Amino acid sequence: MEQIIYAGQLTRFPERSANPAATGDTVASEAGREKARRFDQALAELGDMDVLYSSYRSRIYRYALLSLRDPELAESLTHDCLLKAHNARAQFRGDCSVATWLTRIATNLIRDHIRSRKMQFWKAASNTAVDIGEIADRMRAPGLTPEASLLVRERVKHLWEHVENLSGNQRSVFLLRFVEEQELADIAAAMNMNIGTVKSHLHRALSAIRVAMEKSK
Amino acid sequence: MKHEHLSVWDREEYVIGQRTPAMVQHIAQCEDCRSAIAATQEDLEFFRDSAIQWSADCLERSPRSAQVRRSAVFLPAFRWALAALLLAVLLPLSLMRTGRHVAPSPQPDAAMSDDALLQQVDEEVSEEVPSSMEPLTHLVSAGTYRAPADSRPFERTAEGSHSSVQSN
Repeated sequence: MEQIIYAGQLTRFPERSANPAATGDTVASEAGREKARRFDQALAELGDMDVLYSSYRSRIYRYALLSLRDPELAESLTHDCLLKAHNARAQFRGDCSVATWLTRIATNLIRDHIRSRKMQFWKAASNTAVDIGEIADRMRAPGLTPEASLLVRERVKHLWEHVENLSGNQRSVFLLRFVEEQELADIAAAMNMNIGTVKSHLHRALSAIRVAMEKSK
Repeated sequence: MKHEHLSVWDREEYVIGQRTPAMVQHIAQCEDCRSAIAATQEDLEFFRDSAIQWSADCLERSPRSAQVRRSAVFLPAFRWALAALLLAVLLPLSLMRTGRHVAPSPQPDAAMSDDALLQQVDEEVSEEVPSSMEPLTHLVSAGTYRAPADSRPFERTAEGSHSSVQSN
């Protein structure tokens, strides 16, 4: 197919035949081929539950865990997310990466869950929810003296508390940017927002955390 | 010379990753802005570290991990296998039952007596005098039946039905 198109181009633009690689058409077709290859790869990933689990489980689990602060719930939601993605793989259009698509599904599941509870989940966590102090204690602080390590843990604990007080969207955007280190465009795609809204949420989150951290000093 | 620091917004932009060359240049030259941003970034790094560590620990301890994963992959397959197994067991059973109903083995004596009885009923129906008016000694048994001499249209029909029953 590619050869037929290329022959047509040669007929129309014989002067370009000397260096076909330099033409915009060839570059475009290369980009198209690359996009098609990535799309096929994404579909293959989505079609294989083993690959989905091994590649994306820890990432989705972490996002769900940090959003809900409940290990059991996070596990269940991760399973639902991956299964939904696997079953709905025919709807994947390749507009974004598989990771972003999974994050979008997970975000919707988290939203649905919080809505179904009709409450701010973080403020009224379930029995299996973990204490913030326990989370801060997991932090590794290599090379720090015990005193310095204690101070850092206290700061991290305060930070967790302030993140807990963010709105749902602000917290999700904050976690995706500063824990998952996703690009703003990917966060926008995952959260179904435009980039300006994502930036706005990030600024508000950072501002709220900065003010709260200064107060807690 | 007046030295202006980066605004709070610009510092946040820098931390978010929206950095302009002017910001980068300023950070390189301004100790205050650099230390303020470094403190924020350090807090965020520690936060990220604790989050990742906590998540990894939870995932490692999760007893359902392997089970959920296995069920996710095998549960649909198991359902199909179960359905196929049920079909394989129930289909032959139902076919066997249907076969019994469709092809019963007829007893020859019973068939003969049935034919005679049918013929007798035909005759009774075709007679002018109702059977209830006739004595019961007129009734015949299988093997002793003789066709009546006079034939009427009804009797012809009865003969026909008799032959069709016999041919079966």
